[in-house]
Amino acid sequence: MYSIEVKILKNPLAHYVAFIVVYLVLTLELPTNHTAMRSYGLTPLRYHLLFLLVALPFVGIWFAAFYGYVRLRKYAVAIGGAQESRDFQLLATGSGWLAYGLPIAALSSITLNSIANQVAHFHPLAVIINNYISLVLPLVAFTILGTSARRLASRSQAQLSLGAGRCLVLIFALLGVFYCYFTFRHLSGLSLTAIDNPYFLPVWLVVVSIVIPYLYAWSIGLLAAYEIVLFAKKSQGVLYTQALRYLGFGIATVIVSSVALQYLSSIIPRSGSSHLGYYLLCIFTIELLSAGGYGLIAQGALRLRRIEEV
Amino acid sequence: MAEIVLYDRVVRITHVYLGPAADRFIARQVQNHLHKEPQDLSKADLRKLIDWIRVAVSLLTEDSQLIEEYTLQLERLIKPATKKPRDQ
Repeated sequence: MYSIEVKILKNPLAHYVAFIVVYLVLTLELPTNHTAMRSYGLTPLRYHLLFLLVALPFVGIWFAAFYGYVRLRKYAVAIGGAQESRDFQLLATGSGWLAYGLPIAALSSITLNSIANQVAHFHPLAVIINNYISLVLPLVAFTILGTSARRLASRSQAQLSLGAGRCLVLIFALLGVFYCYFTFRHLSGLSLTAIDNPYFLPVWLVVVSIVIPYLYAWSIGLLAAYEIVLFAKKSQGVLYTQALRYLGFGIATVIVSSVALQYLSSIIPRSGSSHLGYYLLCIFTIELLSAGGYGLIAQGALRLRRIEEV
Repeated sequence: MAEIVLYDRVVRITHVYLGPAADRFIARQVQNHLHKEPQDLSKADLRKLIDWIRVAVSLLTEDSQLIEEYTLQLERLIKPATKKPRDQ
């Protein structure tokens, strides 16, 4: 009995269920945002129903993330003593950080924003905490994924070609320049110590603790995406690489969509209330792309695991 | 010693299809279906092993051409090497 309980507690899918229960309860129970209610002309009941409607697709997207992570972890365990086992375990850990990051960021966001709606002077702190949570979780995930992608790529003796290297540098440069342009639009005309900006932090601290880490995380993440695809392409074994390609492209899709999501949410600073319209549509589209990526990971891991079981 | 070489040859052929999973795959087939240790694999076991491999690989892919190609290469290990007639 005790071992069954421990198994449930350690099961990521059980964590997923716990996350959605908490998320849906918070969505229905937390106090309403009066400004949003007034601007959309909603009653409290309609406000909660609308919030629930917006929240429901995320529940499906999180499922894809947790399912993909569980499948990858099972494959990493299945190849136990193999040389590449540790690298796949690291890959699964990185995917896990991304999967767990989705509900954690969402839960912290709705909880802190709801408190900020009731206690006005808490609003800056809520924005700061939410900004750092959105930054730190993917940063850790990309670092872990980058390490495993590099190890796997070197295992298949795949090297970054000169052309691909230059192309990646160009992408990083474009990404960085546009990001800085959109971010510094909100900070222009302010002194380095001014905190009357959408980030509620001194400008120098925004640059040091948000802009630079984001640029670092994205470059690490995109490099990891490229190297994992390279590994999948250069590995040997017809049937093995067929399965590995699903996994490689899945991981790459998840990383790219995670970067896109961070990019979008950081160039449009958090206001503490929910956006509807094009912004939400963009978020949903990117999240759906991410769910597709997790689906590919699950498919690839299932196929790879079958090779180890027959 | 020669029998270990046979196992390695089976793994080498399998590597083309299963990559790094080849060694584990063949060791598993030998242990589970022939009830032997991989190093004890002999030529007499090959026919049975190929049959099991055919079954296992058909669970991984529906590409019958690929399965045929793979098993054909393994079957070449059964037949004794024939000397080519000298060009006259």
